[in-house]
Amino acid sequence: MSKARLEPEALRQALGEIAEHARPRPDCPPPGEIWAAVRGDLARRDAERVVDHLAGCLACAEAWDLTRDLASEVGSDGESTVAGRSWPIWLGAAAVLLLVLAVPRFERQPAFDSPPPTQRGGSDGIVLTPPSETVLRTECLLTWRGPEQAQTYALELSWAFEDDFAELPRVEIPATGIEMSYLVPAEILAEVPTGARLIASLQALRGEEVLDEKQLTVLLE
Amino acid sequence: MKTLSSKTPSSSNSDGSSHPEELERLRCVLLASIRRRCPAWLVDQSEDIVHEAMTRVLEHTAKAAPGEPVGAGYWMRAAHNEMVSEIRKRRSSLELSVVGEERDEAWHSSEPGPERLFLSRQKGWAVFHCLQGLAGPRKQAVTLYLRGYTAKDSGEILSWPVRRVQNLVFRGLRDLRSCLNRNEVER
Repeated sequence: MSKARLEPEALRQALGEIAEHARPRPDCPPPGEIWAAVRGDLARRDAERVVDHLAGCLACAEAWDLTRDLASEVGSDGESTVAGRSWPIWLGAAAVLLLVLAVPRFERQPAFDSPPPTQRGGSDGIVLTPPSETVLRTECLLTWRGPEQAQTYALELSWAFEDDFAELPRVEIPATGIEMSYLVPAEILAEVPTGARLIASLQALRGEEVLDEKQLTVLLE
Repeated sequence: MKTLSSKTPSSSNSDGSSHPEELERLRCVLLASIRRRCPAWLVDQSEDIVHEAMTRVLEHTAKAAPGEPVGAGYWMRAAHNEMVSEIRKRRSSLELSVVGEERDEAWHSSEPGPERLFLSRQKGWAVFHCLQGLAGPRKQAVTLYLRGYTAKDSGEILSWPVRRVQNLVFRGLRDLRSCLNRNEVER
């Protein structure tokens, strides 16, 4: 068989082919929760849980698509646009006023490209310790506490700067205990622009099984 | 058979007046969505599904808040909930098609059938299982990507920064492809 490139559209179609007779599972989220997730109204953990379920439940994937259709008919205030009713003039004026007042506030928000170091993910499994808000490329030391069962860690680094985005080589690190650290070699980071956001994605592995994954973002100097 | 307009004791707009025409439009939206998203055997039942869903919504609303004015967004949300429940009920009543069983059938069936269907289902199951094998955040990002979401929209749903979504989709798709290549899935 030839090796596949498998474009996203082909992947989508392939999933569609097997959805025909999919059955719901006992742990399917209630329809109201899917509705809230589609509209972005769920808390992060709950939204992640629902989307995670979606990946393994073709019946819910279909329900999600239906929900998406229907939710698009409802305005952000929860009112349906199906009836196509007109808005009062005062509401338009209020929206304009809100926009005028709100825009300067948004401008004062810190830019997305200069975040504090953050660790994404839950508290069980890997606990990544943020080094500092900015790190020198010669001192990019990552430290973490891993799950006991981990045999190796896979570290994937990428960077983002303005519209550029690139991946760095994947590194396999044998687990030598619960407390772990890894100094990213300066030569790996040599080509990364100053001021780029360095994204470290760390997976704890037992054989091929992924036990946990965490992500950390720092600014590189 | 009861018509929708005959069962609209509380089908009132936000101004409190009855709007059977609004419910009729809602019915059309529900039908269109089923026809667009569901397989043929469910599309064949779409009129019944929508009728069941809307009847239940009207009954619940009449019991819960008789005569109270209800916003149009409420109807959409409530009808959606009932429609998804109804579809689930009908899917559950299918006899053969437990996901795993269907996969096994596709792999082991000796019945003559279109080869293309067999191969595309084989590929579908491979994608499905490789998707399950992705690490949590990558799985979530790729799942929404495969449902046609942009990074910005996925970010809003999951409360993630757009860059994080882009990063996870990129890595997740790469993992997915290498899993499929390991399983020698044909293009």
